[in-house]
Amino acid sequence: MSKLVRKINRNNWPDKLDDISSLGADAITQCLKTKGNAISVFQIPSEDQLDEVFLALTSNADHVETTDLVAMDQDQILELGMSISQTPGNTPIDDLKKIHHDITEQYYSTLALIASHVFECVCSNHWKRRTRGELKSILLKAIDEERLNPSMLKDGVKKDLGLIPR
Amino acid sequence: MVDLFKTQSSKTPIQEYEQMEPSPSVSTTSPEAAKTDTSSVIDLFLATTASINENYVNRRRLLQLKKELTPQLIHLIMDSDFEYGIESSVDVFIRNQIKINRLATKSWLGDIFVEHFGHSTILIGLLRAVSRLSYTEISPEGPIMAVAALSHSNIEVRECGIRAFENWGNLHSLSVLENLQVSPSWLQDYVLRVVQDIRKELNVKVGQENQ
Repeated sequence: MSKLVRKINRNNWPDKLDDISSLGADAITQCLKTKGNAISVFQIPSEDQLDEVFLALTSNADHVETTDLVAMDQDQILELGMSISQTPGNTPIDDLKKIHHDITEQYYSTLALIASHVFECVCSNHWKRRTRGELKSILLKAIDEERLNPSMLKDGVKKDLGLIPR
Repeated sequence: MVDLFKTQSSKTPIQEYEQMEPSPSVSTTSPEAAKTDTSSVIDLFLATTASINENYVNRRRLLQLKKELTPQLIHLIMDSDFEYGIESSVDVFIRNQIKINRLATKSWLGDIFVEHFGHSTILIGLLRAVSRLSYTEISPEGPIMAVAALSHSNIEVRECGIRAFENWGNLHSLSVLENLQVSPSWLQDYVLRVVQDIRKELNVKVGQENQ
């Protein structure tokens, strides 16, 4: 069952809510920010593949910092009547560019449905945090396997990995 | 809102400081002492003048930061779209001030942190930027802020304190995080994983860190 994965800030999503309408606005404005009425996500076959998304995101970051991802259920998103289209991902790893997608045509009402789904995913433990140390290992492994050319990394990440002096 | 720069007198903060400490251009040595041509007196003179110069410069810079740049920094923090892993305009702003005068900037950031302890958004913005500076660059004010953050009522402020120690990743970080109990449970789980990461990175075995 395919997953649509999105970077979130875990703090914006409470463990419990009596009513989804009382979800804090930061959860929507920060974690579900849209561009051209679309939400950027990465598509993976299953949650076992989450590290691929951590790799795609961290290899394009300015610093290696602990990151949270939520894994939404693609079928449920489609059942909500939403469309998904493939768009090139902004990552230096060629084989991960194609896993980037957009959930398109977002409106006030559809954004609320996605927020509700993300909240359910967080509550049911379909989210994952990778620490800075774990992310560094993921990046170094990709460099070792020659999937990632270290010269493509930003200076902050190179410093965090010890590839250039601080 | 309390005006931090409002003083009892009508003088500006810089004018008040100039009254407190002599200007570096003013000699503190009396004419009699100047006549005694010994090396120790000259050394003392040079040391005193240098000390006045440094204190004067730092103090003057701190007052300037408070007066002119605090509103700018607060505005930047409130306006920034922070995202972990992504550089913000607050990072650039603070790094530029650190380059100009590290001591005064650290002191200034510490003051802002204390003065806005009740304002989580400002604390989070400050901590995110401070955690990206090197430990030596931001010590001791940065680690003091991070320790204070760990007991804050806001979960994200607490998390930013943990993240700062994670980014610094040294033995001091380890000793703080190992003795930390936080809630909720996912945050405590995060602390334990960061402790493991730092131990692995520094090659520290359990119990070895206090030796």
